[in-house]
Amino acid sequence: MLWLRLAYKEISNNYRFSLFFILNLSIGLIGFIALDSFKTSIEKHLENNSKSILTADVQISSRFPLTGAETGLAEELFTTPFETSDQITFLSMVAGKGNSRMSQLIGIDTAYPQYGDIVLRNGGSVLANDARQQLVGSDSVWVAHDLMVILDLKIGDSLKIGEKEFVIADEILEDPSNTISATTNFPSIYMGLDQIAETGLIQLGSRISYHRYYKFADAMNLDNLEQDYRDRQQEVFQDSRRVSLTTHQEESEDLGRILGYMNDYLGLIALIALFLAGVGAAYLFRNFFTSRFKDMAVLMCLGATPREAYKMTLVQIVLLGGVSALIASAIAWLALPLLPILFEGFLPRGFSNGMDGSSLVLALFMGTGGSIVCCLPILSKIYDLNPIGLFHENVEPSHSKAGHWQRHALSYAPILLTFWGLAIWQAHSFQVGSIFVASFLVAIFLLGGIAWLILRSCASFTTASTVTRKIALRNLSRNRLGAISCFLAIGLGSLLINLIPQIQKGLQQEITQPTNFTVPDFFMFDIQPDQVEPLQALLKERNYSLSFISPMIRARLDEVNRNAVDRPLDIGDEQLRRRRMLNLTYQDGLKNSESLVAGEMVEGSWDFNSEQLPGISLEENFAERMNLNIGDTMTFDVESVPITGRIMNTRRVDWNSFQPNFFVSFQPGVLDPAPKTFVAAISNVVPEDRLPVQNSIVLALPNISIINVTEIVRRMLEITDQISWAIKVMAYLSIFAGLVVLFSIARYEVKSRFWEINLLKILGASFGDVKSIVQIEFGILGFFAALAGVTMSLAMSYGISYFIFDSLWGFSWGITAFSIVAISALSVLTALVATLSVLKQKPLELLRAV
Amino acid sequence: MILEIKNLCKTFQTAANLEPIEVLKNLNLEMEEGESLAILGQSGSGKSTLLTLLAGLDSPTSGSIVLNGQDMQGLNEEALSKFRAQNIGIIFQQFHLMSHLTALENVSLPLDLFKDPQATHKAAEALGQVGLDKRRDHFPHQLSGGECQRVAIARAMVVRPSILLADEPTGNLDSSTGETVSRMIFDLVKSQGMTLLFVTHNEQLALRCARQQRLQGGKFL
Repeated sequence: MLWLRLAYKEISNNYRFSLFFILNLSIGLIGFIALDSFKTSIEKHLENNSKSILTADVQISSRFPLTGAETGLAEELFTTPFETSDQITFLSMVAGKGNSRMSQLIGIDTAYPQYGDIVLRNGGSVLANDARQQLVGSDSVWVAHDLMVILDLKIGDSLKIGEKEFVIADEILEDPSNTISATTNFPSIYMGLDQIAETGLIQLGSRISYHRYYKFADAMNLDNLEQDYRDRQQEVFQDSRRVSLTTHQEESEDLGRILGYMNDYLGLIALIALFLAGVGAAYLFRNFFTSRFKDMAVLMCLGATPREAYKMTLVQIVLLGGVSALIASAIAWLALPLLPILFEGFLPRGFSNGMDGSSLVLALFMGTGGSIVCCLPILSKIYDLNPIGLFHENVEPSHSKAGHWQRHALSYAPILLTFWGLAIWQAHSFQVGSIFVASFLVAIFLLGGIAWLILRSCASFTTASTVTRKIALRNLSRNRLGAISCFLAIGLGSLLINLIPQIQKGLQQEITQPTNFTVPDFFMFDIQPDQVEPLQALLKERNYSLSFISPMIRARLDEVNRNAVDRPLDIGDEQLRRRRMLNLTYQDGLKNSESLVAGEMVEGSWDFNSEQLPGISLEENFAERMNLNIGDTMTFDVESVPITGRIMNTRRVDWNSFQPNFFVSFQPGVLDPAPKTFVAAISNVVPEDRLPVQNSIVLALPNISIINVTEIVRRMLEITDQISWAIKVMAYLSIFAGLVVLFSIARYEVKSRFWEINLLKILGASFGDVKSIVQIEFGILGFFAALAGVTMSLAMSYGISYFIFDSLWGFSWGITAFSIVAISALSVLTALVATLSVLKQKPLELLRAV
Repeated sequence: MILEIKNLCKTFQTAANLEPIEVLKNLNLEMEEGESLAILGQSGSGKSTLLTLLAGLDSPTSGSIVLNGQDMQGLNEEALSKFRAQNIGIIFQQFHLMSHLTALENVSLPLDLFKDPQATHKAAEALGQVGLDKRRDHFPHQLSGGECQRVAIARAMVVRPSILLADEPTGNLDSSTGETVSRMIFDLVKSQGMTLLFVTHNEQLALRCARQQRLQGGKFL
């Protein structure tokens, strides 16, 4: 109790330090705690609503109509009675009053949804009435609200889908198939299962999904069901990829993963804010603790052991950290409603954000544990304290005490380990977390090195013209430790704030205007061979033409180098390994969005009488992920006909060209007679013609699916904007934490130069002179730190763009110049505010105070 | 005998290539219980070093210090801390009060350290003895120099130590306040039968002790 009492006394009597320490740490913790609460809320929501999200306990899906053999195989594994519901989904163009839109057609039976609900404008909950019975078997549809608005439709209007007219029976307000709106770009239309066939849209090459949903009468363990089903398929069909089985748990985990990735990256940025706050806390504590050395020595003189003195200080830190955590939790709780705004469109419907006990425990742990860890290097000095100093002028820790250097070096280890551990935890990946910490350390060392060089070079300019400049430069060159801390805080903040917009700029530039390409306005697929000519004629009437017409043939990869792919093929990528159904094309030469990487081009058509195998060109990343090399042979099953080719080259594809691009391309002359559809693009459509062109195609050739690329680009820009905004909010938090550090350091530096400032004033320096010294010092620090941080952010953004986004990088003068000017100005302003109270004091008061 | 110093030497090694500085050279001293001894000497004579060794804050290069029958060199750091808290009272020239504690809290601190349940009561009594019972709730910055030193005296004596070490206790005070403070120390020591080792360079003050020892160049003259 004594230590608690003493700690409390110290805190309350040094309230300025305590308040600042708490403020500083709270700022660092806010983002961290808010994100943790948000993450926990999402996990809980998904866990509690997983059945409603899948609309069933288990779902099996296939690209082909499900047969009794496949459903039977799944049903054998169920240990409890069940009910079933069947569904067919595919994408198709739908035309309304003068507009058309790609939509998701969903054919259902009366048992759908087994969990969750569809809420209709007039009919309300479909579970509560016979709306489903009325829909199934009638020529009516339910249409999503978004589509009703886009196509200007009303309930009772008719809607042409494929070759058939349907009546809109109701408008969908809530739809379980559309859990996260940002990931679903196509609004839903529900109709009876039997009516799907009547649309005439199911043709060769149509990408249709067949689903069967299961609802269990009793609880059943679903943990290994997916794997068991895959194993059974392998046993029975010698193929584990015909049908996929998804449990409600996996479905919600998948959804959680999408949000998880965003959360993870935001978490890492929040970690930087926390780190900066830790640096600030450590700095504040160092200043405070240095002033308490004498008290510690007195305590030891009165009989306290160093361990007891340590204990008292520890209690103090824990108390301050605990209060900071509570305040940060309160602010985070208040800020919680803002997070769903940041993530708008990415959140499951019905999501509500809240803070639970675990987030509070984490906050307290981070507040107390984090403070201890950050202050440890300073705390370790207690063991170096020698009360002998009480008989002399000053009480200072001795560096000659046994174990000093080992103790001091070791006291930094927990900081690094904690930061590393937190980064791995936040990123949910050892590799990502470690790379993050390593990059962060490299950035610190680089910035530290730059700072040291700049500060050293300040010494060369100390013969500057004015006395204020001379003093400022001398202060910088001779007080490097404090100045380097400032430099790091500003530099890291600048790096962060500039990094995100720089990457975003490159991405957006590339999405809107990819180098060397004109992005087409429309991308079309499901074009039947006999529709190519009418489509071209239709476009010609409007003075447009089809471009990049490419045949597309569905095929199954059966063998590689004459070995069945099921067993011997060692493919690292799980998704690709499971994927054997591929879209092939054939083409002579390369498109302008492609370039040869390795091997040689195969010119001309393949000669049937040739002894050579037809040539295959593979996309480079696909070849790498499938472990395929030039010279390997690949055998495909094309409508039961085996076709074998040899890999002749690999090519790079610019996917952002929005042109029809394929992983596997055959030499012409092999696949030409195979059943196929075509994909194509339309470019250079003037904006006012876009809608009429799209509508005329939908009306004349309703089975052709058209993607409005301009619309997709707009949506992608919106999403990158939104993600970047969310990240920026966290980055601003880091900058704010950095400014608090700057404030603490500036205040300390000026206070420690109390006598010098006092003397300057007594010798005749005006308030303006002293202010000007502070301005010059922090102006130089702010400018060079911002310049170094921004330069590093440019290098880092280039590196990230090069390795992750395929060199999509664009330099933004505006952002760069603004960052440097704004951060320099903020540094000077913060330093002036921090030091104003000291600067304003009269010399006499300063003398008295000392 | 309360204190016995035998062949006490203290040498400081400065730099590897420089000669070590011999601060205390073969000192021998004995003190009886209730005796008062003044150690006189100029600056740099080794007075403060002797005090730090007697307070157990540093260890001698050779020789021994036996206080109250306990050889202080035989104690580890933890035991030495406890021993100091119960047996040694120190009055510093610069007072060294805890700035964030009131006068009463400063005085009760050593008692609190070894969990004396009567700490507050005893501290209040000690403050009364130095005439500060009305200033018990004042912080050091609200007290004058003389008052601060009286609080420090009360803090040193409240544990009823076997020996009281006073390091120039009036050095930071004006002559009149210094006189009051020194009189108070001698009166309290006398009334409580305490052993006092008084370090000073003031000859007049030294004469108030029963015995005087002059320290010069690390040796008793």
